Amino acid sequence: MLPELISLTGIGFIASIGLGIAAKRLAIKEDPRIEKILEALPGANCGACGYAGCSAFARAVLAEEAPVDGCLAGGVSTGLKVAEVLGKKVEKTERMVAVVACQGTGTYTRQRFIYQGIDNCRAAVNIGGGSKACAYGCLGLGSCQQVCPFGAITIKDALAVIDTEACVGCGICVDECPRDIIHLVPRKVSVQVLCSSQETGKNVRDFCDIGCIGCKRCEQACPFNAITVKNNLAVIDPGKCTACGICVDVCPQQTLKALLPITRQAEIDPGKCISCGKCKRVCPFEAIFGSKGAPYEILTGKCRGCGLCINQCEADAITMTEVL
Amino acid sequence: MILHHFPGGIHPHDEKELTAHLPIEDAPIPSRVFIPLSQHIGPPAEPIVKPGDPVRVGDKIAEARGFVSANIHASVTGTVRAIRPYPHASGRLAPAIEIESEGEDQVYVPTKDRQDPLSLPPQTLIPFIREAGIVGMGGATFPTHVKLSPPEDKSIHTLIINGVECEPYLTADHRLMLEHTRDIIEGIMYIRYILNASFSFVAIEINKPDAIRMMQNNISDPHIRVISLPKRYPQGAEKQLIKTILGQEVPSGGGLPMDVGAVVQNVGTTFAIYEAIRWGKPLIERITTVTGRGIKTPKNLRVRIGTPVRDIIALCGGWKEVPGKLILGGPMMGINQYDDAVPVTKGTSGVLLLPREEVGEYHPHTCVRCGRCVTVCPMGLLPNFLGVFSEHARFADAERLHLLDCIECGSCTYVCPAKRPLVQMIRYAKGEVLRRRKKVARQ
Amino acid sequence: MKETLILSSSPHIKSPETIPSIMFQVCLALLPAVFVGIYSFGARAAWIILLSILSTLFFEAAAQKIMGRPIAIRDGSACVTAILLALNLPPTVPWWLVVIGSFFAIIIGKQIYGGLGHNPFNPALVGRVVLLISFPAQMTLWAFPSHPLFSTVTDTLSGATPLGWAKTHLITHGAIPATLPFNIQQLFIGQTGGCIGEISALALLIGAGYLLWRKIIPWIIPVSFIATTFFITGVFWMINPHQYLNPVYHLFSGGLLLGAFFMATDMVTNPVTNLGMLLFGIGCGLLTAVIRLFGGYPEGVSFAILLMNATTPLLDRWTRPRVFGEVSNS
Repeated sequence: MLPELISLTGIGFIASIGLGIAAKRLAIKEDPRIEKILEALPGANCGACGYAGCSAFARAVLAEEAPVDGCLAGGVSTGLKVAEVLGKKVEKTERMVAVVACQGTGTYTRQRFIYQGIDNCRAAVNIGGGSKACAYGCLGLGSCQQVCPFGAITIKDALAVIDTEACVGCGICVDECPRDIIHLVPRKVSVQVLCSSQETGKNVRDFCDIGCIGCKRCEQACPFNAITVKNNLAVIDPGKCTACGICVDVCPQQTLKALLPITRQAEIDPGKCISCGKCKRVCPFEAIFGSKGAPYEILTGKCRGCGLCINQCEADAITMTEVL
Repeated sequence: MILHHFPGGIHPHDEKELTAHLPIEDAPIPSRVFIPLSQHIGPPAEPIVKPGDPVRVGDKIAEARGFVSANIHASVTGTVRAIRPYPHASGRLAPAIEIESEGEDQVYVPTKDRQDPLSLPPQTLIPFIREAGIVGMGGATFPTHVKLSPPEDKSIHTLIINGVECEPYLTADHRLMLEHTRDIIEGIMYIRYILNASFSFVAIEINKPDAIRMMQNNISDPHIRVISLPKRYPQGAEKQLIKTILGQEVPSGGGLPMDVGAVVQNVGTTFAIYEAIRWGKPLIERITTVTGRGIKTPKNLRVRIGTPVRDIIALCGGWKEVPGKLILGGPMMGINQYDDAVPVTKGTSGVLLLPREEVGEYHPHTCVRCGRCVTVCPMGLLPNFLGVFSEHARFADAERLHLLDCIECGSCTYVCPAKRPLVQMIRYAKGEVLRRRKKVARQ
Repeated sequence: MKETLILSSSPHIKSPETIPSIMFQVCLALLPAVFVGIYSFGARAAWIILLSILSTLFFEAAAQKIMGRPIAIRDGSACVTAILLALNLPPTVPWWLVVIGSFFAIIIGKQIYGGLGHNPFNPALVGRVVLLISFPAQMTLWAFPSHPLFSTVTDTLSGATPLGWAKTHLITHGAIPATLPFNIQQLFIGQTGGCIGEISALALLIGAGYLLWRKIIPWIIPVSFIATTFFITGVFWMINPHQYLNPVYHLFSGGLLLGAFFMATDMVTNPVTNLGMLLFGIGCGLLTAVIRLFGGYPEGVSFAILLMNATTPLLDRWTRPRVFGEVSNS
């Protein structure tokens, strides 16, 4: 027993010393910053940054080919840590999310034939142009779900649904969708047109109950000219949209949706308010109350943060605050 | 002569007995035709008419765009009603010229009568083919004038006329060889003359003994030989046909028949070439086999290009059983349709109606590595691995296994006992490989 | 269009062969051997086969249910494994041994890898080898057939398999006698002892002939397997007929025919290429001969096939066929 114990222990000892020496002697000389960057990264090798893995991204950042905040999985905090390693500054970037511009579930749409084949949208779209009656709609077979590195996409009733909380805006699903109906939008622009059909309203009604019919009611209702109908489809200009949600209210087809709760609220500074009442008259949501003689007040429950009152106020008494 | 062997191949029941004995019937002129601008490989043709224009049968209505493209002609006499997106065999909408047929004179009157085309210089014959808008009518629809204009450094010594028609159910080429024998032979001589090929073979599968006899009896030129080939799918595939007759393999990875000094032409195309050179007739009609146990009265029809399939189905008595699949082409490589408004085009060799009971359910199993697909692949590939790699997005591995050499004949999917949709998986993988190549090229 | 059509990628016709149809035909081809086994060894053999079938079906269904996969016992593959496993057992085994064997065959040999198509080793052989190594006594307790086929002779042999007898005799007496207590005819028809399914070469060949005719199994593997074993055992027999058994005895006794035609040809575990199958068969034959001639076990087929199963992925990679039109770079 004893000889065996000694010999095995001795072998183990010698081997570990040997490995230690080899690790030091044979180590590849690398920029020590790569190690530090790798530590800051989540290490998931998800590919959302566009590189083959975390090491590839670390090297690219060092070589100044990749932006310091390119790691979308790690988000803002990772960007700051990587920037720290390199001694750089990070500009605050816009957080993006992916949105599927379609709501055509099996309940709202029809199939024009029975599809027999693999569960892959890119393959299925070549069979008869796709089995969903709408030639623009989501096929619901899950190609986007399969490629999402963060599990943010699920298929519900033949429709791809993206969890906006889990989505980091990497854009891999955007590339994958054969119908090109997934779009990356700034997170804060929360009102979206959830339809991609350019068919006339009459045709859309034939194959979908929830598609955009190009009636232009949204265009007429928007106080900011942020939504227009082009090619029978409503389009929102993110630069002008204030996410007030008037268009969502007037849409007869429920095509327009607010994806995130309203985050902005107006606030009247009672010290500056001159009680002219212009804000109350212009507010589309009846969210301001008051009368001459006293400062006006915002009913926070009704305020949608659209900012029309701010434009009207002659005393610069109203400001917008982020509630989130 | 010694015939060579190509690997693999399958022996499905050929189902030719449904229509092989039926002489070609002229389909009545449809009330409206919808002629797609894209019926060929290459950019779509550009319209040269507008709505409201009157047209005569045979008038050119769209011009080929570039060299690898084809002209389009009116197949009926009437008035152009619209140029708009219309159902297309690909499953998507595509621009088509809609013509409403009017008037009695729907018969094409030849504009030329070239008694002796072989006395003209061979290069002058090619423009006649190009003008007529002729494309490969076996289904590939490659513009014929391009095929017959190989580059200077590729000399062609053998012309092979493809009368094999190895797809089950189809008998259009068979009837053409029986009923227009001399015209086809004349066409063969024109093509041989253009290519300056020393030898010409007419390849016919052994299940058409009457066509073999008919062609043999009418050929007097000793440089044209009829060869009867054993029945095996895909004997009529270009590469396999060349291997069988010449013993040579077209190089893999992008090789073409002209690389081994051969050109293959379908008999239907040969017939169209004859009509174009001899009579100046453009491609406005073709023979199509309407068949399958789903149609009441199968027929071999001569139809005008642009005729809606709906009209043809009605002409043949309509669906006999519960509809299952509507296919344009043959059962092995034809394209499934969901809308019978789709028009017949230059490459529509057949309209196949399969009743519901002949269409199986879709329950694919994991690959059990039985190896049947490997045994039957005519290109010597390993379809089982290609399918598994496609399933797991291992596109680089698939490419290394010569994924891009697959001719999509369908033999592997036919034999697979696990009922895996191998051709679809391979097609998908091909698409992804090419997409990734484009992405890399862009960077 | 009123009726909804079906759309798929081409091709639109398929051969009628399915996995269940293949499995069913394999079971059919095993019936002659099953019949001879039950006839020769009596009701006990029938119970072993039945118990094997029931336990494999149970284990497969249970495994699929627990692993969240659809229950697919109807594809018939578990049934084939069950019959092959049972045919590889001596007729004297206790019931619990059959159940343990089924467990290892189905669970360890197949389901943990993901089910049919994913297993690297032949499941029936996994079960058999586990039993052989774990319960060597029970697995070599032989019985002579109580009703040998076409024969009334009952006293020739103690019941040991011919190969077992020869090996023991070699060890105890140092040489194989000129006259043996069994003859080729007995081996061929099935009048000797052995596992339930391996006693009658004739019954196995009838089944194998059916599978070859219907193209269910490739001929390359069994032919190369048997030829290689025959050749090697023949060479050694010619060198020294006193140390080595006549190759024809090797051919018709033991599990060679059962293994070569029914187990080495299990499609999941052998190569898909022609050259790969040839090398696979030769390898099986070589290993079988070596184990039989020089190893401690009298029978080497099970180990040989399992070892070659391990080389299948490598053989597939090395024997990729030439692609049509491929120009090989030298």
